[in-house]
Amino acid sequence: MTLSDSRRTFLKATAAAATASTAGLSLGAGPADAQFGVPDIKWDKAPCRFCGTGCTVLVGTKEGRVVATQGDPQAEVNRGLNCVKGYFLSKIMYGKDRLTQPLLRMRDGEYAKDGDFQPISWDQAFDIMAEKWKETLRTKGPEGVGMFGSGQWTVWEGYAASKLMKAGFRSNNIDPNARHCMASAVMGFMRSFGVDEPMGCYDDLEAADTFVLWGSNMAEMHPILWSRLTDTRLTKEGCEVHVLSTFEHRSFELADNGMVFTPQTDLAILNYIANHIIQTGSVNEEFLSKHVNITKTATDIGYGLRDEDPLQLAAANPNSGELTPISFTEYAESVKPYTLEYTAEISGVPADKLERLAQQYADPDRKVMSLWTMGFNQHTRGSWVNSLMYNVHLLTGKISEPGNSPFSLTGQPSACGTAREVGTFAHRLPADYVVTNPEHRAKAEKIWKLPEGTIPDKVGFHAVLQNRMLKDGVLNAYWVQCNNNMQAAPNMNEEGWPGYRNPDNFVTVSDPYPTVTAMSADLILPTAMWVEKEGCYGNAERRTQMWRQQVHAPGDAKSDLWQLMEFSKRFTVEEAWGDEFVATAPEMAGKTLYQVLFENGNVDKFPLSEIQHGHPNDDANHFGFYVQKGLFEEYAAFGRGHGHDLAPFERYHEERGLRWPVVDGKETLWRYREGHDPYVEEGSELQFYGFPDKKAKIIFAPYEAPPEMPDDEYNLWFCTGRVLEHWHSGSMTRRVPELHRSFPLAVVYMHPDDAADRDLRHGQEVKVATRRGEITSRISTKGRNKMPKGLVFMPWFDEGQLTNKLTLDATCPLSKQTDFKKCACKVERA
Amino acid sequence: MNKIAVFASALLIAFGSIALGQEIKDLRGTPPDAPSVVNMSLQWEGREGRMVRNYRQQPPLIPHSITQYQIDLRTNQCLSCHDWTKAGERNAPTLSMTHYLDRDGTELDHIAGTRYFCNQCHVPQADTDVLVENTFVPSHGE
Amino acid sequence: MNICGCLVHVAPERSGVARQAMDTTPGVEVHAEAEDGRFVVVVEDTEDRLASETIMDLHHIPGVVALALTYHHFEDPEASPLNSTE
Repeated sequence: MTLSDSRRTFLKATAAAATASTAGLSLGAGPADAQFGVPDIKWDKAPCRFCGTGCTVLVGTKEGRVVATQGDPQAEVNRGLNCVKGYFLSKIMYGKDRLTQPLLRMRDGEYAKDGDFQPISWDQAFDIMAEKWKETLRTKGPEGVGMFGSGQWTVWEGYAASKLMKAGFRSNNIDPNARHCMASAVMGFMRSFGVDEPMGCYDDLEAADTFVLWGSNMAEMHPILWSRLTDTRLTKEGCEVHVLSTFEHRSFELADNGMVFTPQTDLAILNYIANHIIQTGSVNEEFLSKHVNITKTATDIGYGLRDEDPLQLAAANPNSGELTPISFTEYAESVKPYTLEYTAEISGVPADKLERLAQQYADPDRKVMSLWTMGFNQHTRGSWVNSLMYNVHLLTGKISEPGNSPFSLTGQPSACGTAREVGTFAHRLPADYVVTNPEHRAKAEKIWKLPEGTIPDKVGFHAVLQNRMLKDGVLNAYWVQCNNNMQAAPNMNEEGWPGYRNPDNFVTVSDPYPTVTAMSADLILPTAMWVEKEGCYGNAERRTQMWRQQVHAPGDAKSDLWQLMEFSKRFTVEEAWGDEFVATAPEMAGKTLYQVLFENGNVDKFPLSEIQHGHPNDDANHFGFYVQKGLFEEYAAFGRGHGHDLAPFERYHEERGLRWPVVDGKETLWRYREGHDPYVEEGSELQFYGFPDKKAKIIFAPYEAPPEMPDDEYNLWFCTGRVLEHWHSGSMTRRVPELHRSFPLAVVYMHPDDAADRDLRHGQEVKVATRRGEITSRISTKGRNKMPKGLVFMPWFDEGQLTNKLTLDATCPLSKQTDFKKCACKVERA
Repeated sequence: MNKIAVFASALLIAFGSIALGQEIKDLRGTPPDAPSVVNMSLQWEGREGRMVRNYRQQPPLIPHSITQYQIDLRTNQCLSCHDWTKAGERNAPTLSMTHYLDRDGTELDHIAGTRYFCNQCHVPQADTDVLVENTFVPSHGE
Repeated sequence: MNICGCLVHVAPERSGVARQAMDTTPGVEVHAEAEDGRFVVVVEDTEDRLASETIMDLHHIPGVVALALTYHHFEDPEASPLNSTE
């Protein structure tokens, strides 16, 4: 008997891979490309299309189609590994129902709000769309138009969209779905440090002694980072993993100290830890006096509900983020009520477990990395809880050095790169600038070569407010790109669905697939995705990564960038800005938005000849210049010399990403720390330079109850979230048969006693209801999650069971991010 | 030659969508405001043998149920059959050699920590229909 | 059945000729080549020569400066082929 050919090929591949990795040589990409048995597959790098980890994959193409993908051994983030979703990336573009033509709701050959979708040409699509937008601009002004974008947009798509809305239509009504995902993290960074995004990086995953997961199920949501953390736990003497959540999930499998707490009491637990640090004399006093200011935040601030909501009317300081300086003694007094006994009681976590956790932070000899995701961010006190986390790290000085790292993880591939750094939020501009600051607007107008006063100073409608304004008929012309908000946004029955279907509104949705959101629109635009275009993403550790176009999009599908720029050709500045404003800038008169925004000498600066030979670039060829480079370089002007420096464009095509700020060609691993961060002055050791006095802020906030808690009728906590096998709303992963079959439908995870009390069995069909709606699902009492009594968990990927018919549109009043983790529900036999 | 093939398939796709016209639908198949659709089973496929891979780099799928499998700090039940020390006697597939290399490429006798949680990459398959066909075609060069 | 991964250093100015020699040696496959003269080479047993013997032959190719064995896999062909992951 001999070895099979495939076995032999496999072993040889392994031998080659092991050898290449020892030598630091590339097998996958580059001129020395060696493919085993398949010499005609062309391999090129791209960041994964899914989460914020930012793994690099090698994409194999042949005859114009993707035929395989694999982890990139040269990528620092993942070193050749992928999670199951990443390994199946090659199939996400090939669902049979890919959209290839614009589709308009029509009746008798005309647009009709209640018509059926009919294929039309791009010209017809932009005709009707421009007509509706012009009508709205005439009758309602810039406030009547809006856009909902994405942390999945490429950097230049988000940048072009932001520019088109803020400067083109002079409306700040643009917000990304990252609002549902990262807004509280942003608010935490801005309030505590004055600069967005983590100070540390993934290298902390090998450097820390203790890992603490706060409201993050990394095992499922960030599997590759989890694999690095697991490796450290299993190979480093004395390493510990602590996991906190409102139910027991897969990350508990690695936990030395697993803690299930009552929803919302993370606020109390963090104050207890601060109290413990102070009471045990573990405060790093030198650090504190040199680098930290102490404040408290306004309390009783409401829940981000509609202004007329009784809970909102009852709040003493609705939406207030006011900070008041306090002394250390006052701070110590503020956290004093959070004793071990009190905290154990309110949180339901045994005292010995809480104490063991607190000791990790207090012990000066242990390096602690805290990690969090949606458990912190999707929280009606999300901005508070983010800062409470920093308080603990600032009290002990465990920050901005290898292994000591409060680290906010992201959910989308470019939540950082596009949504946050480009600033596609209703209040932001690139590089942490904001629309409410006149100097920031002036700087943007100068870079954009636009007249003074082009950018409006009023904060636009944020994500949840957009749906409310659609429902109320205030926002009438609306464009959704690169996300599935009808499945994601909270309280679909009362806000999202009536908003989109309001006869006053014309809603356009750009997507590769017929999602729930697309089906709720009036006009659907077929969209190119991932490696069908040249792109750039930024991951959770400030790493900017690029990829080249590798295949062509099917049919008439076009990239979001193409759509945005083509649409801008349909408007003269008079139509978009009004005659009055154009009169202040006569040199602009008669031009189109396309001319003033994109043919401005910056965006059209680089010729097609700069595109690397051998790679298609449909967008650049269409517009006649290297549009991606022009947009990137114009965008980079905002951040260079301002703590957000990016390398020259070409460098990113050569590297597996670089972590900003990139100064003199060198990336920055730990910000604010001398020797690592070039922005820190010599001899100062550490500078939190986001604030003028170069000090970070401790921000005290108390425990406050959530807006809706279980009662006699709705007697269970309802928590939503994701699963390993599907990404977000499942519009890509559910079209991959292997991923679909690995988790075919959403279920309601429930404690067996809760099920028995309701006379329910595992697998049975049930009705889940809240005050806002009801859905049917199946019950699971034995799956991967072990639920505590009184709380059920349901993943939201399954468009057959729309969990957002149940969720409450309460937000953190400061960040405006929805709390998808807590409301009250009841479960009955269907 | 290839160009013609690509062009022809693009035409086919475009044609397909014209015919699609009125019958475009999402994975629900019912309007977003209609009741939920819960019609799939939760049965895991129990067939013996291996499932064909699409490309060499794809992690093999699990052809058996793993419900209640324990993988935690104390034990990894998958390894009790699939580790190289056990696979022979259990007549089970051995882990790929890549699983015995750590993050720096050092060879190990035991599974690498980065590969410890098998179900990050390897998943079982439910006995259920696809929601929509996938037109991915693997390379035939292998 | 032996399969070996080797990193071969060749004097860059002679890498063209050396590669040709390696390509024509039975049981040898060149999987990658760097501009600085390093080659990723996989060597396996042939009908009449063991991989280890072939590796000794590679040392004698003109231009080859050094050769390091970085990976070795042995598999007993009599063992059950079902034991592989393929």
